[in-house]
Amino acid sequence: MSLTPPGVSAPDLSDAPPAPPPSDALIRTEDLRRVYATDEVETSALVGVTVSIQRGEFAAIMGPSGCGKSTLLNILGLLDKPSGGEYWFDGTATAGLGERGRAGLRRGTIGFVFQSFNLIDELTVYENVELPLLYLNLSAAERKERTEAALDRVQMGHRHKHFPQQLSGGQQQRVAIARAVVASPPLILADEPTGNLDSAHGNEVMGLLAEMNAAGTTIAMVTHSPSDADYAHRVIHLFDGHVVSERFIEKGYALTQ
Amino acid sequence: MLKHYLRVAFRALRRQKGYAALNVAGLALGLACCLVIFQFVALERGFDRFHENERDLYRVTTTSTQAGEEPAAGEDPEAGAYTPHALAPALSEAVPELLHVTRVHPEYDAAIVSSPALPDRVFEEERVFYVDPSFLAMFTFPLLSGDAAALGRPGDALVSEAMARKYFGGADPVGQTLDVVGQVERSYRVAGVFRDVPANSHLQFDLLLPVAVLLQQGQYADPESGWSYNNFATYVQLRPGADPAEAERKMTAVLMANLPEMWREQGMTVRAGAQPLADIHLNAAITGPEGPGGVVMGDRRTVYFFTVIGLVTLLIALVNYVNLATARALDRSREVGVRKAVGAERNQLVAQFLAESALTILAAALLALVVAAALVPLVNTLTDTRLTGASWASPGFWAAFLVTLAVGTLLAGLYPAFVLSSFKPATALKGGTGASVGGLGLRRGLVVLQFVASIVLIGGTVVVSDQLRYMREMDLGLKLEQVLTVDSPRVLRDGAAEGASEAAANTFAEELRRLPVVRGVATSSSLPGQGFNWNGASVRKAEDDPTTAIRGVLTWVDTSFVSLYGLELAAGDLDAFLLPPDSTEWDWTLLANETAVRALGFASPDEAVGRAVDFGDNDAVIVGVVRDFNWSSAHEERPNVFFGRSPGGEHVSLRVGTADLSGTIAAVEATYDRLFPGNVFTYAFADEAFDEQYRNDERFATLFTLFAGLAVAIACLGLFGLAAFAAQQRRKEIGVRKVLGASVAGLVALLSRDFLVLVALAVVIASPLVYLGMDRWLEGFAYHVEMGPGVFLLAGALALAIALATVASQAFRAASSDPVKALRSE
Repeated sequence: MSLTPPGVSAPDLSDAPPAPPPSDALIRTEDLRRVYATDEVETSALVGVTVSIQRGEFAAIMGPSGCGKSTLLNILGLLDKPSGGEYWFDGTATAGLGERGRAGLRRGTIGFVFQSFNLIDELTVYENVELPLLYLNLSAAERKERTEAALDRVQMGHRHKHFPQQLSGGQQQRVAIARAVVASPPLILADEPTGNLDSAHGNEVMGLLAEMNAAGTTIAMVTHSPSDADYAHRVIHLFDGHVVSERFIEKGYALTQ
Repeated sequence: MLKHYLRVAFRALRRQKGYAALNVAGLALGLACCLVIFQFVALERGFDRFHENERDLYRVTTTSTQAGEEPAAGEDPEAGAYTPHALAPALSEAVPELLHVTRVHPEYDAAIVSSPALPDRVFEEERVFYVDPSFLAMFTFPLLSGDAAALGRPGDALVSEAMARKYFGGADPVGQTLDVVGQVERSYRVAGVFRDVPANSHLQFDLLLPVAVLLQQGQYADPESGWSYNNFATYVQLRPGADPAEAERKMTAVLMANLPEMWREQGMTVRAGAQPLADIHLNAAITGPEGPGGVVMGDRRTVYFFTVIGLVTLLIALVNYVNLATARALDRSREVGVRKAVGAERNQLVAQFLAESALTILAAALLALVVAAALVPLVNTLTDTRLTGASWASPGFWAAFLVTLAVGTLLAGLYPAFVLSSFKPATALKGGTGASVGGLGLRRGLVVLQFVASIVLIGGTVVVSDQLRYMREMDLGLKLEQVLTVDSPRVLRDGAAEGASEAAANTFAEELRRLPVVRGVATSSSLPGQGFNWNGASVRKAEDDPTTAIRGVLTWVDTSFVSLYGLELAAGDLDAFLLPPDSTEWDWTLLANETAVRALGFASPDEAVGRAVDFGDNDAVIVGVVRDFNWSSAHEERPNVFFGRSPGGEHVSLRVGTADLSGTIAAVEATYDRLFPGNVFTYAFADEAFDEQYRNDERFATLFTLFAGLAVAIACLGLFGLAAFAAQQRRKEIGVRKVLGASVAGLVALLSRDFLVLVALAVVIASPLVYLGMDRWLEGFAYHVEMGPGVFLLAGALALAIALATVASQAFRAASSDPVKALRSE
């Protein structure tokens, strides 16, 4: 069984420049810039970032603290707007979109997994997972079917009535992953998904993400952890807001470990 | 989706119990205050609206003007509702616009009533009216048995359900006998029972007697009396569609055609007015015949002030809600981020947070109903009002209630909802807001607004209690302490031979003088604080033109009265005021106060002594001038007072020692009972009776203090919540400062300072508002305190102290917490 998503070029471990972006990139940015300005200082978090991520790819974004990883991920997730440059999501130029337009584009197409899980405390496990479907205005029956399927997929069906505070960190992150995939989005963005977990739980979570990727979901993940990055097909290194290098990892690594 | 919103809202409230409790409690208190005040205002404004003919019912008022004293344009001359008894029949004939006319004459003193059905019991009845048969055709006071024609039969009477129960228990009242000693002394057959008069009727009565009986007695029997004794109220019912202005013109013509000769000579003109029934209760400017318990008067200003207080309280509570909700917003930012990340649009989030507001406000409203229901009896007890909660049964009330809730939800919920939903998802997911520090400026503004409102209420309370104290402690120029007053016997007084009452009082006075504890005895025909016997008499120097007459008031007193009440003579000789020993009748030898003497045009009190005056067409002489004193409450300007000398009056005043007061009263009562069997012994202390005049003011002060206290408590709840929140927000800062060596006291000061600056700012803004508002209130008093800086300092200091206590407790808790925990949690 081939684990290479369609359209992903072969990993290149040499120093040669990466291949030009293929035509069916899900994510493509051009000269992306993000400046944070306060009254006194301006900080450039991203300085002309041009990346693209193919459909079905699993890309890891790495770099030291403050290099712009999370900023990039937020822009890719349409949670934040770039100060300059362009970002095409699934072929749609997004730089000029307002909040409503971005929310509309995001809905059902991007799932998020956060370091601190970000489950809503007032909602049960089931309700947390169901939440994206509510905003998609799906019928109750369909919501139920999908939510249960997503929970089963992360093996949390038996805890569906619990509240987040009643779960371990690893369990919470599994619920968060179920929430990210429940609407079957083509893209999952993960921001240090194992950062708050011990290694055993961390491996569980990474295993799940790799499984989702194997099933065809594109994943972009910010991480500090080289071992987590090894689950990806490609590692993009950021430093001071620039892409400094890209490294392709040998396919199949994740599942053979 | 709505179910989802409500479920989340409910769980959010449950999880944040403390916050939810503060928020719900504050709102509930505010709403409860508003509900109770609404009841009060509805009761006061709803007086006399229950009559089916209400729109066509009017009370006749008269405004008299003396030649040369016509009011300037726009100036409203004082109108009164006192009319003579010949007016009603004359109006029926001459004014075709009128469908019905009735006279209402209260029993000016209480009537003594007994019944053979209840032997050995005698009651004082204050709520007694003499009326025309048309009374029940005009007003909606439904008869439960008997017929309205009874009021046209001299021997018949109608009683209220309550009175029927009191005298006849379960027996059929119709056909029973009542023996009444009032202005008319006779027996009546109970011819019918009417339903108890509702609390919101300005006319209050338990016993209706035919006016025809009264008109055959005493002063009214004199055929000349028809146009001269203005002791009656006249009510008219216009024909449907008739023009009140036209009726007024024709009524004026009737009055002018029958103007007493004396008034005509003085160049008087009288104008009739038709005062709508619903205007009577709150229009304190127009007074009419009242009797001791027959008419309930309100005060438009009180209603106005309470409407304002109610709205301010509600405002404070809503502001609280906004403040706490936006402060809590920071805690919800992560949730907002998540919801936006998974695809929520802004309007969906606004809807969600509005649903939460609606749920909170609904919970508060339900609690408010319970609190208000508990407050109503308290308010009734404290203030002697009769709130019944009846308005809660009306659909109008619920409609208003729901509209208030909806508007409240929008007002209080929209802002937090917009703040929350505006958070930028990328920042919100990290627990930040991406907005301007969670609307800090606005929250500060709202705290200032709340405290401005609170300080206005505190300041108001200070001024109101100052004024009450001022009135109670005001030097009246009368010594009312240790004066016991006793009414002379009613059964002898009315209907007995001419002079019998005075003789009885004299006998009583003589007997009392022999009691060792009694230091002085005086008789008079009225008492301080209870008005005069003759109001608005024309008085002038005998030699002057009638048009120069001034308005004077008169009370009959005996010579001892002057010394017993501590009146000081400014000129003249008290001996000249002493009645000759053999005299049994009053005469026109007068004492005047300094104000009257000045008004009459005498250069000095001495100049007035021995001078002849015309007093209401009687030849009188001033033999002495007393220094000015206050006979009535501080509401009223000092009138031109005259005392006429009389051998006895209905009221006996005793100056007594303080030792063994109950023994003294028992001795006086024993004397009374021995001399006047079959009478009800009633006594009062002159100072307490005088202060009765301030009952409405005290009621106002009590309500004001109560609601101001509640409003301040609500504001403090909000401040408490905000202070707790601020302390929580600054945990890290507090931890760092503690690690670096800050003291607890220093930290408390640091945390409290921000809030205290806001309260101080509120003091500055509120002070002029207090001044303007309370200046208006004080205008209702002829004698009042001056608002000095003390009021504002006190109100400000109180507000600061309350705020400091609220904030410092939170600050102290935060400052005393373990810094390691605070820093670790970051």
